[in-house]
Amino acid sequence: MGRYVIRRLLQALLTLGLVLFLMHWLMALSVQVRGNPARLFFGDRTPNAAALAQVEAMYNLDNPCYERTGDPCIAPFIERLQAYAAGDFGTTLRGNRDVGELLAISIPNTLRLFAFSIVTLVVLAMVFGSWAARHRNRFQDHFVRGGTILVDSVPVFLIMLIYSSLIAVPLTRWVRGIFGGDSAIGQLFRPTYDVDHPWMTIIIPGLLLGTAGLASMTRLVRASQLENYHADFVRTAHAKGLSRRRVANVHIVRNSLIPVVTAIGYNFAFILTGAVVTEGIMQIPGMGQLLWNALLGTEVSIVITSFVVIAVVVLAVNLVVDLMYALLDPRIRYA
Amino acid sequence: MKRIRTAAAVCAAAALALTACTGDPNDVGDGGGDGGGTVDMQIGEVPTLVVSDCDDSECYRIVKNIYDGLVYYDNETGEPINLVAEAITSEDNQTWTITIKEGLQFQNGEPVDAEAFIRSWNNTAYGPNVAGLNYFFGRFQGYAEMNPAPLPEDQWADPEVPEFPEPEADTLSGVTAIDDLTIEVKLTQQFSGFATMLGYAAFLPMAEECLADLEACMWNPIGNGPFMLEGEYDPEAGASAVRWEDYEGGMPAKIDKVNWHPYLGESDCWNDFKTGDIDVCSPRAADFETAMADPELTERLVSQPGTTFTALGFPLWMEEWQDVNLRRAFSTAIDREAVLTVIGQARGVPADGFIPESIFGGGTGSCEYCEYDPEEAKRLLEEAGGWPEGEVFELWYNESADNQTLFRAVGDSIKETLGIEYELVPLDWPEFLTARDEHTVEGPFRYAWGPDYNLNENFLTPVYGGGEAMNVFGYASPEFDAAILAADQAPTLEEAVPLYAEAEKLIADAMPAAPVLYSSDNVFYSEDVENVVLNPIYVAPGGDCELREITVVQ
Amino acid sequence: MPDRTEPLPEPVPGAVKSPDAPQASLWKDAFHRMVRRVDVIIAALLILVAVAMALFPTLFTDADPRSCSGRLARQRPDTWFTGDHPLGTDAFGCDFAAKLVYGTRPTLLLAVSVIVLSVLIGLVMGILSGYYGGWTDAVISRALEVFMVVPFLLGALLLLALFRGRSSSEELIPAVAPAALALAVFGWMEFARYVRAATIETRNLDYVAAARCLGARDRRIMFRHIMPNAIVPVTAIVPTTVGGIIVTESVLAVLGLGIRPPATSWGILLAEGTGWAAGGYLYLLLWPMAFLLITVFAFATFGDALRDALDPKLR
Repeated sequence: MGRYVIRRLLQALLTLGLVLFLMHWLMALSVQVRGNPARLFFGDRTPNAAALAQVEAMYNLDNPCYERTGDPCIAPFIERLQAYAAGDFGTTLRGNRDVGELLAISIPNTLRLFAFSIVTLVVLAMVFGSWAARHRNRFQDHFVRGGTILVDSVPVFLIMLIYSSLIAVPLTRWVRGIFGGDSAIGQLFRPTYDVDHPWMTIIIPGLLLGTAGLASMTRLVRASQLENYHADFVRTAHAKGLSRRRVANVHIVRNSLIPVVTAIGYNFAFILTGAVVTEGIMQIPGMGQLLWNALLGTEVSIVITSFVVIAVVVLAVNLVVDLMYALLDPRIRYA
Repeated sequence: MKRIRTAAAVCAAAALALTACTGDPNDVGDGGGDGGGTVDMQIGEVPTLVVSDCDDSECYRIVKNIYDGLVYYDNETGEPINLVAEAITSEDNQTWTITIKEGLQFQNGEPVDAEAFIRSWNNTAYGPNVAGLNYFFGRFQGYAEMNPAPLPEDQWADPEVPEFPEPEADTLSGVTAIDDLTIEVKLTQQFSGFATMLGYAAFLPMAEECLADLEACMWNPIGNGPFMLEGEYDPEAGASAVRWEDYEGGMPAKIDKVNWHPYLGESDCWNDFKTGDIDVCSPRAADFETAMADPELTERLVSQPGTTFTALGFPLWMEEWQDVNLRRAFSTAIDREAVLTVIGQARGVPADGFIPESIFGGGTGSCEYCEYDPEEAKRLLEEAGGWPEGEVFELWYNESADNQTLFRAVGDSIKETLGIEYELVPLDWPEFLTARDEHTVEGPFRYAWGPDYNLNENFLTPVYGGGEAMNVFGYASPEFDAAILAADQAPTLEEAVPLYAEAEKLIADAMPAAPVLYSSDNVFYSEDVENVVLNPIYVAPGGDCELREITVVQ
Repeated sequence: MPDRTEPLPEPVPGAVKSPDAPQASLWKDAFHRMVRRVDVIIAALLILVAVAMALFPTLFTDADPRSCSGRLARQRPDTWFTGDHPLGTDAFGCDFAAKLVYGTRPTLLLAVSVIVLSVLIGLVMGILSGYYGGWTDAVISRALEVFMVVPFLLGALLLLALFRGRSSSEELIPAVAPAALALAVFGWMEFARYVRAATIETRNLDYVAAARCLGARDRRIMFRHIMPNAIVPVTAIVPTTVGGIIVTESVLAVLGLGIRPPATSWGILLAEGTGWAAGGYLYLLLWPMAFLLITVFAFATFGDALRDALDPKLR
């Protein structure tokens, strides 16, 4: 077991290093092809060349390798690695703000969004998947199948836009009309996120985000539950005289929860994408929005650091899931 | 039974708890007497709050409330009124004497005196500081010594990076403090509009504490105006400013507090305005149409002609575009009404000249070729020799959803009339600026200009002047330069204005750009506020008003 | 796009008796099973309509989508399906129905090219790594992991934002190519994984070993024996993925990064429509949304059924 863990850890570290290098190389290529983002530092103004050179030096963008297209820029890469090791994630080109600080502020917001969306996804998938499994091949089953596919077909951004521009406002007005303009519940359906009500205004975006990927998750639950229905231990439970409801809730549901959790782990990257879109539209100052704006504005440090964070998280989640599998299924450890 | 009762009790408790949870920071209707209350405003991306770099509408939106300048433009007439200045006089329009009111202070206790202005101006004018508003001091004596030209190319260490010699001076020789409260300014030439120019951000004072630590000052400036920032400004989360209790200046605020909520990217304040969480908002085209259909909402609309104009600039350094008939053909081919229909009727009015009406000296209607006439356009195109078969023209602009819509409409219009296909070339802002400045643009491009100060000269000299290399069109004309010079030297402002208008006519004839639209300022305000006034020179896009005038309904 | 949660139909080794006849029965069976379902027939018909719109737009509309007169902008379709503008005009004064129909081609072309590219890359990578094992496998598997860590859309965004070209023309290929490439670069991993698994399974079969003993060259083995088996899991997820790509294209359109105006696509129409919907022009949003939803739904249903039909466990 120990050797397996170490092996997976090393693999993960190697992948992380490669991802870092890939990101760095892409950014270097972009600078070589499209020109130096150091100009961003000056905002709307045209700097004279001396000032530009100064800024380039400040951001390590002055290495001559940036002039040659295709040069992988190893020296700046090593510099960046050293900086990361020291905890220095660089500063932004606009406004000269510390990237590490920005991340520290924005990650908790994204985590909150995640929490709500994953809980929603799991709950909905379990409920609908079980229902569909119980009434296999009958109307309810087809309804769930068709319904979840339909919901999945609507892009996340469209759901958010429609909610934000067409539904949120009348709903908010209605709720405030009943409970008063100052009530906490009046903040629930607001069209954009408000920093002063971080929990209330993140509930609906989280719920809506949780519907993305519903179809495959529901199908998974249904399949695993169907497997369990015919499993031996269920038959034993029935034979013992346990009520159908108890068997369903206690044994089947718990067992089908495992593949769901591992599915979330493997689909993490996908869920992350939905979060980025959601944050962009609902103005949630989380990591997604940070990355979104940084991509559009070629903020080198933020882009690389964000992707590294994403890589670390995805790799960590995959590692945990793999380890859990190894714990549960001895066959894998010795593969 | 018992179970149901407990459930009901739990639900009831929860409901009570929810309704009891107030804590809405929107303290509307607070404060007794006259004044008080909090206002929620929207804001875009703020790059910095340092006075010397504040050439951006979002930065200025905050800075104009935290600082008081020498003059302020009147909300109705746009005329400059003395604010911090006691008097601004000159005998010959070349040497000016500015006296400052006594007893004014910065928010940290430092005095607002001649030194306060001089140190700020020297800081901005000093070349190596690369201040955004540096060029405003071009008229001052001593500017050239602080901004040397680059060394000859063979002296550069790196052939790509220009090098500059050390500036000979780090202070403006033309600016001296006669005494604590009097400044004498010597200009390189006569300029009757000097007093008017002083209303702009470049001429604001700075505290010593601010200059000593510019990094801190970038997000937490020390001002002398009626509002004081409550802590640092955060470009992502916004900030609040409270009324400065010890303000002694001439234009105090009436509210207690203002909150700025940033809307970055493509989102806007309209949805939050509808729920009452934003007090002043300018909706985009679609929402504007719906709002106009609501009679109750239109009662809370402030609409007035704006002071910005948008034009299609022509790259005069390109051979194809040097025939004036071609440029006139393109201008006549643009159906400006149609463009407005596409982007939203309320957004503006078709431009008929090069300077908007609400600018002092503007509204002359000088543009002959701004009237849509498809026959005339085709005729002019023929006179110019036609357009090569199969080739497209490119429209260059800085990327944004609004610009894309505008330029698609313009391109469609030209295509329908002249039958020439087009391509869109959107660039991001810094790239676009570089391309325009370095004359590497390859087709007609977007040009928009808003007033720094309220004078028609401001729409002429900085835009078309300076010779071929200095303006984005590559336009050079000795007649134009002479006309401007003559106007600069006029003995009074009243006499200068029509002379500037003469220069405008020269531009209309040469057509380095085709004006498309003049802007309109439209703002809706919520039921919680009153006295929403828009200053034509100072108003920022997206939803803004005079924060010194606005009051909260009790 | 990714759907890594479910096990996919593996090629049933026992059923493959000889290299030629085998898959015929698998595909024929699948076909029969699908043809019996009503929803599959409807889905297939809808897909055909969409493809027809892409290939022969003039069958569906007379108007020229690029003839846009600003003064006619946003005219509501009061005269339903008759008159000059059957579905009204769009935000720029172009005929809306024409825009919808002509927008089908870039959208579907993008989806198809992304799929073709991803499948090709996935097949090559998967077969090579599965067949040769050793270092080839190690290198390709590492590459697989590295790319998988980057989410599909974010990776495409990264590439498109970093290497944003300048002009956007109305010509089809230049409009579609950048987005297609960016999406394909981050979309091949899943296919590669399944192909690799299938290759490893097939490689160890008797008849493959026999072929090698007989001296068959690697390439021949890969083409004639391994690929038919490897194609099965890939085919099962292709239709659903197509739907996913169409959805992703609309997200890119909203950001201004995918297909760009003045070219049209459903995503662009959707993005424009959302802006105007709240202003009372609901039809500008509803029609592109309907087209998108119906087509994606059709692909997803079809793909769902295909996956079930190819799954030997459910027979």
